[in-house]
Amino acid sequence: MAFLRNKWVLALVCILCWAIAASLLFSYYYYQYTDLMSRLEKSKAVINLGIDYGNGTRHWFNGTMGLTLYDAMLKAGWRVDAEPYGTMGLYVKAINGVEQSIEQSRYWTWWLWTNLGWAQGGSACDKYVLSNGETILWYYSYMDPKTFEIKPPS
Amino acid sequence: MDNPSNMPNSRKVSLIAVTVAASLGSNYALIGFANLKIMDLLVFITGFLYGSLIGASVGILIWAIYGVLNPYGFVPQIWVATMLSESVYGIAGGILGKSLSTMDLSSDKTQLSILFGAVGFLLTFLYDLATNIAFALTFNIPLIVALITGIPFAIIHQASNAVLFGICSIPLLTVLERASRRWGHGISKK
Repeated sequence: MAFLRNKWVLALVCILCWAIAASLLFSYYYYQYTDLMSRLEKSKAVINLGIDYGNGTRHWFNGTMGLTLYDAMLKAGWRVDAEPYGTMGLYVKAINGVEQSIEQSRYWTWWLWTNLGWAQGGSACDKYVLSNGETILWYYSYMDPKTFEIKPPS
Repeated sequence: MDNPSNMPNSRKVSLIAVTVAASLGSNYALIGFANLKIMDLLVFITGFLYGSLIGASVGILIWAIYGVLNPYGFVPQIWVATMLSESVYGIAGGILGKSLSTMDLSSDKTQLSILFGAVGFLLTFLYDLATNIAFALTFNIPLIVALITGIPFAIIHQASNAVLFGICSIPLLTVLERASRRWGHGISKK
């Protein structure tokens, strides 16, 4: 077979095999990705999301959809400045231009409404998976630097 | 290469029977490894050495038995599809064997190995495509879903066959050529 002498023909055949394998893998992972995204889209929760700037201004974004709290914040159109802390998740430093203040000991925390009142969120906002009908408030408030205590929202 | 038309019928039959038996034995031995089989290589080599007709017969016969006595179950439509698809290895082996009949296998080993590897990959791609289409039609599954969900198995099948064809074809052909010469059957690869 004369073409065996021509290394370019062999290279072309190998590239054809690679192209088929790459196309197959791409199709598979694209299908898996779109399938997962559509499933996640269907499982998004609808919540009441609020923000309290600690100066008497409180806005509610009722009917916000999201998979995680961070997802819902972005869906509500908030500008969020957050820093990732590995597996612990995102640490929110500023929302809508209102930054935390270490000097004044004022920070952003999120609170979940329960039968007993407001309960402070126990995880990073991107790690918290929302449930339908939850009421969550982001609260900009003073934290006692000695005890790390924050008074719940009123 | 043995010219099949010069072979006595008894030898042809025994050759087909021995290859089918070897392939079946290897298939059952490798039953736990999904899509990792040396059967395709054996069918291809048979076709390469003894022509497309014998190669295709071996492919069809293997699946005629393995498709019925299969721990994964028996579905007539899939059975027919696999029998016909497996014969493609034998037919392609026969065509390639004819084209390479003037070549010396001991020279151009690297190029030949690459060629065999690529041929193994492409034939397996066609085989997987045909059997996945048959699967989709049989179970009334959307074709695109059947093809995409079959990709992980197809990739394993194609990659393993590319490696097997690339690495094992030349040593296997060389050994069979020597053995055949010893038995007075000239495989004229020189």
